[in-house]
Amino acid sequence: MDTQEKELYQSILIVVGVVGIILLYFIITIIRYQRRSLKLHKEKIQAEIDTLENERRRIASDLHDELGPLLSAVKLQINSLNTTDPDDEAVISKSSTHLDSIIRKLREISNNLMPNTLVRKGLQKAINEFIENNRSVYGLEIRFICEQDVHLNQYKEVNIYRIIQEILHNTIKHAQATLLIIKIVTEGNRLLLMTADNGKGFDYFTKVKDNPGLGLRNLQSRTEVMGGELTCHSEPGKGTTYTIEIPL
Amino acid sequence: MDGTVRFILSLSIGIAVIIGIVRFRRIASSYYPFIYNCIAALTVEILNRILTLTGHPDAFILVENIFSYTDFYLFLWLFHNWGLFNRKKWTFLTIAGVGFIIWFLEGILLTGFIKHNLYFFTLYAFALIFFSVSTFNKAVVHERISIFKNPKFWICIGIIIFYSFFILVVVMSISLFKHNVSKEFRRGVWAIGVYSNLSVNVLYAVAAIWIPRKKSFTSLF
Repeated sequence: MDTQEKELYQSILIVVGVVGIILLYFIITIIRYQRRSLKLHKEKIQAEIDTLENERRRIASDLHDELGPLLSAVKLQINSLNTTDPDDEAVISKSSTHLDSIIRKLREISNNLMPNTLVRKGLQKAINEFIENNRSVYGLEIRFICEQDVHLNQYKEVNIYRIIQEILHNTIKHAQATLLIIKIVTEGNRLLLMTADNGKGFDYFTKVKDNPGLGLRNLQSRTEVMGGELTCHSEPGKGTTYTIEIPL
Repeated sequence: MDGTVRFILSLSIGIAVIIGIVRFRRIASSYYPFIYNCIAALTVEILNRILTLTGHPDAFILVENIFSYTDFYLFLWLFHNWGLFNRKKWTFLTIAGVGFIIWFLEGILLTGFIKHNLYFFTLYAFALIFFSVSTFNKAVVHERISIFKNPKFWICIGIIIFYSFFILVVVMSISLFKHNVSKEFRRGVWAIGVYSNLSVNVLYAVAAIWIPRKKSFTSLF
């Protein structure tokens, strides 16, 4: 290389160095921001879910412990009324029946908000109870397979229960399916929750791109806070399969 | 830079190839084009050495020209698998087709495939950089796994770094080599590409480690 070429080559190396430094700075900055944003995002979802669950727990407890006994007392008082008038008797009987259905509905709402079984007997029993309650109502055949005992902390149990609730509601509302299979297995240090229906399916990527909807977002958020991974396979006419991997 | 040193450095792509082959059956099929690309790159490096040693360095230009389109197509396929073109096969095939026409026309009309298709090199490098930046942004905003464990991140960074320097080298080749520059100067310019290639090969090896496993769940029906 002559002197002119040497100078030119040095200039080229300087340009390459500058471009390299800018690229490196750009990459490092993006990594830092992404990590910070990821942390904030997780904290935000966690806070939202915690607030939601606490609020549900509070409302469920208020309904069950305060309104329930009050209504029972009212029913007792109405039933203790002494009248010989057949019209009044009919009104009392009707009111008593109404009160019974209000109390029953109240229990159902309270149970939906925070299932007693989940808190007291654990995830498997709660899912079984939830499926049993829904099986007869919507005419959907639901099979729940869980051959191993699953022991998780309550925070994960609540999230998994909510995910199953959401999937079942989505299946009933949108899938037009006749069969839903829910399976829970533990493999090494991960728990797999798999669901499959034989409904009409949907184009998952188009749906996610256009508007994922509250249900799908809810599934993603709850999976994310548990550090898990959600996979959805669905095609029009081929049913929908959700697979959720949760680290134990 | 000595040819042997250059060859040894270029063999660093072999690390990604070995990792890729060992993990091939277990990784998600959407990453197959990446593994194919690494294998193709390694093959080209070995062919380069063989053709240089056997005294046919000109034949290597044809190999490089063919590899340039293969490289473009395989990365395009990879981006398509990642959902960059909204999973529309037609968009992917159209871009691949347009790329092929440009590559073919430049080869037929300008270079006869016996000189480097430098215009196609620049164009496809720009296209890959744009696709990588879009995928990179998408991964940063939407994906919730740690960015260091995300192979898309490493592959996109690799593409951005390598092809940025590649454009620089190719553009310099187009503009400077028209003038009478010494062989040493040319070698100096190409050495920039060798070092960027080395750093990218390391990034690809890291990416190959983090390629996610195939989802092998049994059907519930």
